[in-house]
Amino acid sequence: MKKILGIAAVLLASACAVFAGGAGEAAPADPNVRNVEFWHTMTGVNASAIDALVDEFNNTIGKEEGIHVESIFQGNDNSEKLKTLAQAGDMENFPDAAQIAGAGIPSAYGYDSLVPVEELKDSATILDLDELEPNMIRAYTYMDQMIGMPFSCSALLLYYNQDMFDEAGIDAPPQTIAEMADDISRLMVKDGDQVVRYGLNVAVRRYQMANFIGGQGDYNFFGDNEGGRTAPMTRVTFGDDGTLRAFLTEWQKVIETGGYKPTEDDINEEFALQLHAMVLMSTARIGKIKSLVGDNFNWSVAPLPKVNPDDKGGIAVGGSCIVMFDPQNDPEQVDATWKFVQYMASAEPQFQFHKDTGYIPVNKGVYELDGIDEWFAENPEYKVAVDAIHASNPNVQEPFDIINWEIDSIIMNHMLAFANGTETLDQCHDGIVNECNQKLADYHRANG
Amino acid sequence: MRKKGLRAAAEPLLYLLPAIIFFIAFTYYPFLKTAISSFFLVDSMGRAKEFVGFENYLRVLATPQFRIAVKNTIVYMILNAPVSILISLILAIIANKPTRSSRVYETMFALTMAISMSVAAMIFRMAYNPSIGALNHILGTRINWLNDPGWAMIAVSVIATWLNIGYNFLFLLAAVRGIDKGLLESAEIDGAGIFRRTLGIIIPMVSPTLFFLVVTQMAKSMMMSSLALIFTNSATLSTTANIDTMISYMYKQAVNNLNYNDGYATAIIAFIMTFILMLISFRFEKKGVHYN
Repeated sequence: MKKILGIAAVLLASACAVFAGGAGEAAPADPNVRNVEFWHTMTGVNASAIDALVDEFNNTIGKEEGIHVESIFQGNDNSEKLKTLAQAGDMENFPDAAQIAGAGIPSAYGYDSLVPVEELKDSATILDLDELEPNMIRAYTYMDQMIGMPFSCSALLLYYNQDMFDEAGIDAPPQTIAEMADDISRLMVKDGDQVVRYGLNVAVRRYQMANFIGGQGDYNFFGDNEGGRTAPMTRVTFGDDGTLRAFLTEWQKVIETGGYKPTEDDINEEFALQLHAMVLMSTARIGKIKSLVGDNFNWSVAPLPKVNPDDKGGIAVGGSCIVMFDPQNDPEQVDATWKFVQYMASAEPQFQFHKDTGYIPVNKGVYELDGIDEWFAENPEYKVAVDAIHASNPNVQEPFDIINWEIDSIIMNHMLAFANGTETLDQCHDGIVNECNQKLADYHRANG
Repeated sequence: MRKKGLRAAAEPLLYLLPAIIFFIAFTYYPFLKTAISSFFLVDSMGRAKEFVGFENYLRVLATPQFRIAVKNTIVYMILNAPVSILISLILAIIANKPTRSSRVYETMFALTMAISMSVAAMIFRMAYNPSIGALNHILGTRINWLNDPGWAMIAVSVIATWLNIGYNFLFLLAAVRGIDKGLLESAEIDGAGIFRRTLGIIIPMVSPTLFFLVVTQMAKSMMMSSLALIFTNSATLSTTANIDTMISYMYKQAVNNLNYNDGYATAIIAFIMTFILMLISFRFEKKGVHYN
């Protein structure tokens, strides 16, 4: 009897667990409410900020229009997951909307169920698309079509320890890499042969390289077809146009100071512990550094140092966009998704998301809102980031290089070898150019 | 009568059927498909385009990153399996005699089984930080454990060794406690010290368990990818040293780079190497394992 009761209790508990689990995630009970599935890639504070926006939408526009958005964290590899579904021909299980990075746009372009923003532009009711930042529209435009809706935007900045600058008698952050090298020599501290305080910490990878290459001259492309934006990128061009050599020549000055740390361990914490005078990091880290440093010392941010003094290109937009799909072949479902996507890029939600996460607003309307001046007065670092993006040419972008992981690994390995002295400038240059081109050629041979 | 005989013969097969169906669907079929596809040029959607013979294999074998991944896998296997089993065996011998407090330390020794690999990776990453980590502080060194090509794989192996101790300990404790007490006591009376007893009695008697652990651990080590991917493939934890293993290299080629050509060939090369290793292990079993 005891045994039977035990089994019954377990079964009852399992049934309760199943139904309890289902209740939280199930579609809304009301048959008149349309459920929109949204996959996002963010964790921690950023995830809470996204969920807050989704809740706000559900409680306002969603309530009026009968739309309920379900926000689902899918890891940081949404593009790969979408690709897997596409490979299996499983269009039904595509989400209605997904947050992806720019590098995933060329793949997404090929999916049958993709609904490019371009197709719905004229039917916008919530968002004025003219208010979107041109850099960010360009970031998610492929083959002359706006594919994704800009959502989170970040860019590379120089973070510096103001107290160390004052102590070394440096009155302004460096404008160029050469100036940065001079500053590193003055800021680094050695104990015998051992460096106990580095002047600069950054690992130069694809993201950093895209900025240093893109910012040269008025603007510059990483590869052919405008860095893969007008057609798939088939080769890198920074070897032919001399921009890679120009960057490496300047970067050699940084390496030669001996006060440059080329690997990133816990860059946020190390900067906060004053182990480095300068670091190059995304604008998205401003909030993290603020919380880590507190009142311990004065620090600030500045635009990314240029390769050549007369460069005008500026910095590339990083971050993510939201792409839409039509898995059910249902125009009304697409319309519901479109309303949600417009909302996410609108001024008020973008201001809120910026305040919660530090991502730069994608909507210029944010700068007209009440409270923005007070916000920037309290948080001048964000103003530097916004100004740096506004001063940048929209053509300066991260490339649509398709095999971005491979390109990242090639650049990272050669730049590390260059910094450690195991490769000369020429070896590093030729290694990056030849290997990137070989990998792109392999890709196009298999996919051409 | 004949009917009954047939039923009796079919019955065990029916019991095996669910397992066989799963094996065919999730192991043998994907393996065959991978093996066949590795001889074709495959596009990013996984469609075979043309037969290319051994071209994919030759390209992968000529890639420096893959050769480093092979070296890393072997280093990991050599460091992880024997060291973790040796430590577990020592702990099992120490914990052999059940006492009032043995429950406590048995649980403590086995506790690493309950720790997730990604959590362990986060903990060790903090300890390994060259400037603010505990390890350099304790040792008085300034080694960049996870970013120095010479140290990175050793540092990763230490994490796996630590994590495997709990699992190995449980098996070895059961094996050591299963040895006839009379045998050990008579050896002690005859004047055999702990080392003599360990080498002469304990190790031969637990050799079937040791063999099982060595073989499974070596195969698992050859297939390791999780720690390598955690440390090299994440936005927040990325090391610049090459600590890829064969399987993490395969994963990156196939999933991140959509390069199934290199991915399939790598998978088959990794399988062949592991298979050879298993054959060698089973050859050793005939000589070194005592089943009575």
